[in-house]
Amino acid sequence: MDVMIAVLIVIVSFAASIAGNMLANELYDQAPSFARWLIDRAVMQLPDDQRDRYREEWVAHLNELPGSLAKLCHALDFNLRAARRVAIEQKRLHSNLNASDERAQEVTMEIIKFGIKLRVAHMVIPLAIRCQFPKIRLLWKMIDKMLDSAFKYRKKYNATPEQMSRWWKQAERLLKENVRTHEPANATKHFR
Amino acid sequence: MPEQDVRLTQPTLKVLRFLLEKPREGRSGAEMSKATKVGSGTLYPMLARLEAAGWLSSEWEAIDPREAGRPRRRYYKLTALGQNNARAALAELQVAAGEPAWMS
Repeated sequence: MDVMIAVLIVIVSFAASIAGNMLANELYDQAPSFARWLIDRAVMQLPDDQRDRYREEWVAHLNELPGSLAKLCHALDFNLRAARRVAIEQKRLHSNLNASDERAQEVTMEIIKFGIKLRVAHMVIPLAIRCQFPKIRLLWKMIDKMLDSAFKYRKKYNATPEQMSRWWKQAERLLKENVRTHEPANATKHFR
Repeated sequence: MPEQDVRLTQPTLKVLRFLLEKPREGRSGAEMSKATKVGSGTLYPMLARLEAAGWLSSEWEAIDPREAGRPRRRYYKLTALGQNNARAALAELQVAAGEPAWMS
């Protein structure tokens, strides 16, 4: 009985070693394609516009490594750590860019606002002087308030600087039209 | 280019020191990883951060991948800003460590 068990153990271990060897060879042969698959999965974690770049770069990196095992280890590293952390860096970069875009838009808005004030002043102040309106400063405050409320709406409707410029051109045309209607004699003098 | 926070960790300093050896030559990620022993999981996020901060610039290897039969490498090199900042950071480190700066 003991002899039978011993023979069985020898046969099983022999078969297991052959099977293990075959499996190891198979895995070794499949390692590069598995590594490639891991990289394909890794780049899916990145923003769309970065995927092709990093796929090519990382595959080139793997090509420079000797041996299938090293390739597999690096591919795992790309998959488990690099991709996620590069994605975080890209996200941080984009949020910074968005913040600077927003700031640039605010500055543009202020410039547009100042331009509008000058144009309004150019139209209204000569008219006020001609009509001998006594409180030009009061007039200026009114203009200020009007513009502030207009720019509050900009935030509400998330209007771009281009839309605000367009809005102002329309408003200016209407204002001129109104003045023309009320004082046709002065229109030519002040607004053309 | 927005100003980014560059964390000068030990692996970052290793990579910067390596790039400073030949600042005009582009180095691939594999070269850097091999020379500095920094793993790819740490290296590439760091390169992305340094590139975003304007310390590094990168470009593709000038080959046709079909003709060469392999994908192109991406070469990184220090910008003028990167060279200045990297030298300053490494010099600061040497002073802090008590090592004379002229021995570098």
